Amino acid sequence: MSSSTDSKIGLALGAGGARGFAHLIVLQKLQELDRTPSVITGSSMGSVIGAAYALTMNTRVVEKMIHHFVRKLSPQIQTLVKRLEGKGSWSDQLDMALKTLTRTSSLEADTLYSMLTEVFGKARFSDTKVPFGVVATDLEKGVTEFIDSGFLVDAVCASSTVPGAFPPVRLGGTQFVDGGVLRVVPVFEAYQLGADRVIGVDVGDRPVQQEFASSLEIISYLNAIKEKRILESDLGGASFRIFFDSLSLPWYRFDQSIEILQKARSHFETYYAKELERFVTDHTPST
Amino acid sequence: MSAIRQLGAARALFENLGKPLRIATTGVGTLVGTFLGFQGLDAASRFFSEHFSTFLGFLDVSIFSRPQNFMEKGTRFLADFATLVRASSSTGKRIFVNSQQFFAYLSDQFSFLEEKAGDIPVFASVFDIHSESMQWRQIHKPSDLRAPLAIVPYIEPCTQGKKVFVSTQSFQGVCPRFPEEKEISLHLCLDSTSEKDFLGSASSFEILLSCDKMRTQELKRRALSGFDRVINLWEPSSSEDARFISLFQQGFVQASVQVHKWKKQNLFL
Repeated sequence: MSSSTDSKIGLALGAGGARGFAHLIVLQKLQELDRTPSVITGSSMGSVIGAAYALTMNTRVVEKMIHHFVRKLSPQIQTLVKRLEGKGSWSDQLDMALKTLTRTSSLEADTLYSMLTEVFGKARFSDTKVPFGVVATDLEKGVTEFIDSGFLVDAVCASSTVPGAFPPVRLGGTQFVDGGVLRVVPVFEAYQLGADRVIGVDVGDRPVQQEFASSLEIISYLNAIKEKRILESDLGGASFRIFFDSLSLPWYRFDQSIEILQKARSHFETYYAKELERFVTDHTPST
Repeated sequence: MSAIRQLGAARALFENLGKPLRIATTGVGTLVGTFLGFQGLDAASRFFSEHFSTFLGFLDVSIFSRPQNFMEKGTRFLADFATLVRASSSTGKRIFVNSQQFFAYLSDQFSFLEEKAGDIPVFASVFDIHSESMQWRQIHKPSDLRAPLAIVPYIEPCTQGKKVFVSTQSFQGVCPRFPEEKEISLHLCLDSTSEKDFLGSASSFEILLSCDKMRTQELKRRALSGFDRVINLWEPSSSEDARFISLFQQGFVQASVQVHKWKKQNLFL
């Protein structure tokens, strides 16, 4: 049995697209406290940030990576924003509707994979400096799969394929979509990797909506409520919970990376910095 | 259509355990439960046997069937396109099912609700989108069937004043455990919501609907843990033999076997 002061602290990083840049703020704080997580798990964007950190254990490198890709992928990001916000011409909108019905994604299959290949190359899970794992959703069985072996790029790509935006990823004969579909914050999996205590980080944005213009909006809102219930259950098992619930940006606003990091830092300092420090101190082995 | 298995299962339960004190339901099960509670087992079996093909006609939606050839693919594409346009343009228009005709038909067939009280009180669970909570409603009249049958994305949500309700089936596949009452000692769930049959991955549209369904299944698994006993009525897939008599018998056999197993284990003591 572990005593409360020699806990293996796990960090579970949640799904949320661009808002997931906020995970960096928690990693920076843990680095500042000189308390490296003993295990890390990630879902969707949480898997990207988690994998980059688990490989390098350096938040500066992770931050540079974020800004590098936002700059590099700027044209694709602009296209994505335009499409999803319906700001294109009527022919763009028609094109989007047709793609929704005839293709498995609105973005090219290669966009995500080539970006992740640039970051992770041929690195494997066994190359990470702390135990690391990601969750992805098995599209045929409708269950969460925990992946903690093989090439990082494949697993992270499977975990991050936002349904509809990116095509499903085939791994070992199984089709996967985003881990956030069924596991928003992979707290349970962090315990599975050996953590005694888990810090769960949610970067979800779930605005309350009172008016609905269409049935499609209602369906999408109901889906968000389902996600919220799944999240509540996921985070129920966490020892310390962090909610970045003031970022108020859709998942695809990768172009707002600087603003997201600024907002997240200020939110974190206001609500969590001191409490997290206390939590970490309480569970750090005395020398 | 697995809901028909609930009728066969009900016969097995009535024979082995007696009539239930309450019928709690949601989704398509509301139709079965309401008929059962108000008209009894024999009348319900007769009604659904006679009207089975009519229900199939109403509830058969293009998205369920996999295209076998080019023509079917084209037809489905057009149906899906029309669905997208309809669903994006208004909250009041039908989505997959022709609900206007469907509810007119139900008003007619369930008009007995206005005339007499049921032998077994029937309660349906609905989900209030604004308060994000489930509510119980006792069934007294045909219009009470509207909200528990608002199975999005197949049937549009039910708007009442400023409130928007959907079937709890759309949210978590099954109704929750009924509120505790002194006389109720066993909460048994007849689960006919399939955990398989995802729509596939041929288009973003199908993938998004599949993901939505997966979340419903995930919540269903959690909701089922609230019941004392659960009888699985969704296996085998109802598409393998979708005749009334087969579904009824499958439900009867599955529930009989399960109840005998529980009796042997003294689980009803």
